Amino acid sequence: MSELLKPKDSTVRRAGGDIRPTLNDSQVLEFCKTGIFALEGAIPDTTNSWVAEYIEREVDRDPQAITQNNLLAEERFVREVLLHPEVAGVARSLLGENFQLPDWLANHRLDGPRKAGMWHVDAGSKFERSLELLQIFYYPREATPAMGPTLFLPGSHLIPIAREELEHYGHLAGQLMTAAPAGSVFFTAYSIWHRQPPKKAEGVRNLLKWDCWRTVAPRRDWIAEAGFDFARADYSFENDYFSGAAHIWQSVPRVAELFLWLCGRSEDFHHAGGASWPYSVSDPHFRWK
Amino acid sequence: MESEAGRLLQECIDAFRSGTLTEGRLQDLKTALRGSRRVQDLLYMQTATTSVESKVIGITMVRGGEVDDGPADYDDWPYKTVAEAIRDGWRVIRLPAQVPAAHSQDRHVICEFVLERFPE
Repeated sequence: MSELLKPKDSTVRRAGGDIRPTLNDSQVLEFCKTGIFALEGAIPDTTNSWVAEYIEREVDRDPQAITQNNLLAEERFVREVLLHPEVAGVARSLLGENFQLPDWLANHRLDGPRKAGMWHVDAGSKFERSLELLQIFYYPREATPAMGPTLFLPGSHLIPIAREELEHYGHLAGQLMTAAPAGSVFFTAYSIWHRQPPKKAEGVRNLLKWDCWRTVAPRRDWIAEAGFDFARADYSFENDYFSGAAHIWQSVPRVAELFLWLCGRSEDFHHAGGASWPYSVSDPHFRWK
Repeated sequence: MESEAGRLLQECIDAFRSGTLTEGRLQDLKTALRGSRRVQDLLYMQTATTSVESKVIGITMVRGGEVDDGPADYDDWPYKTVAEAIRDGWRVIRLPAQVPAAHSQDRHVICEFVLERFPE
C-alpha cells in the first residue's frame, strides 16, 4: 500500500484555470444519483497506443509493478490523458477549478484468465454526501466483456455497507459492466461498490486508475441550465437493485443533499419531514432561488 | 444422476410393494446411506423486501463447494423470487431476520435469504 499511495518522489500538480467544465446541471445531478460517469473512446488511438506500449516497457522492466507512476512524469500523458479536454472537463465540473492531479497511478493489470474478484468498496470509503475527490479509470485498450472490465453498481456510492457483507455477493441486478472501446474513461464517486468479473480471455488488460482532488469550495460553476428548477428537480434514483418504493424514497434526500453540497448550498439542504422538500415542493422554508 | 442410496431405496420400496423385501436389502440400503456423501449446495438471494415473493436483486450459489455466480444477465437468472426457488426444491435455512424496524437515509436494509439443497 505504501508503494501505491505514498510514492517517494511525490509531485503535486494542479489543473490550470483554463479548463472548461463540460457537464450541465442535469448531468451533475445524474452523477449524484449514479456515482458514475462514462466517456467512451475519449482518448485518441495514437495516445492509447503510446500508453499501452509505455506500460509494456515498464512491465518488462518490473513485472511486479502495481503502479505506473512514471507516466505521471511524462508531459504527454498529463496533456493527452489527465488534461484531455473531455476528461479534465468532467473533473472540472465535479471538483471545481484548479483540481489536484494525481501523484500516484495504479495499474490493475490482468494477464491471462482470472476468476472473478469480490464485490468491495475501497479502503477509506465514507459514503459521504459531498465530493472531495473523483476516482478515474482509463482503458488504453478495448475492454471487451471477456477481458474482465470492472463492474460497478450505480447508486451504491451513497449506500453505507460493510466490506465483509459485500464479499459474498454474486451478481447484482443493475450492475454495470464497463466494457468499452480503447480510450474510455470512467469517473466514479470513491465509495461506489465494484468488482472485477471473471476474465475469460487470454491476453492483457490494463486499467489505469487515479484520483483527482478538489482544492476549492464547491459551487455551481459547471454549465448552468437556464430552466433548472431546484424545487422541482427529480432527486430520486432507481435501478434494478435499488428498486421498489422504499429504496426510491430513501434515495431522494441522499441525492438532494449531495447535489446541493456540490452547488455550494449545503446550508440550504434540509428535510423538514414527511413528504416535504426534496420529495415535493410543499415546504415553506426552502429557499428556492 | 440418481445416487446409489436413492436407487436402493427405490428398489426396497418396489420390493416392499411386491412382498419380496428382505433384511439383506435393507442392510444394503443402510450401508449405502452411511457411505453416501451428499454435498450441500447453497443459494444466496438478496431481495427487495422480506417477502418470499419479493424481487430478487442479487444472487449467487455454492455448488459442490465452489462459488458459482451463474449467468450475469438478470434475464437469465434461475429464479426471480425466493418462492420460485422453494418450488424448485430449495429449503430456506436463513431468513432476513436482522432488518431494522424502520428505513432511514443512512441504513441500507439488506434482505437476504439463504437456501440449501442436496443434489441427488
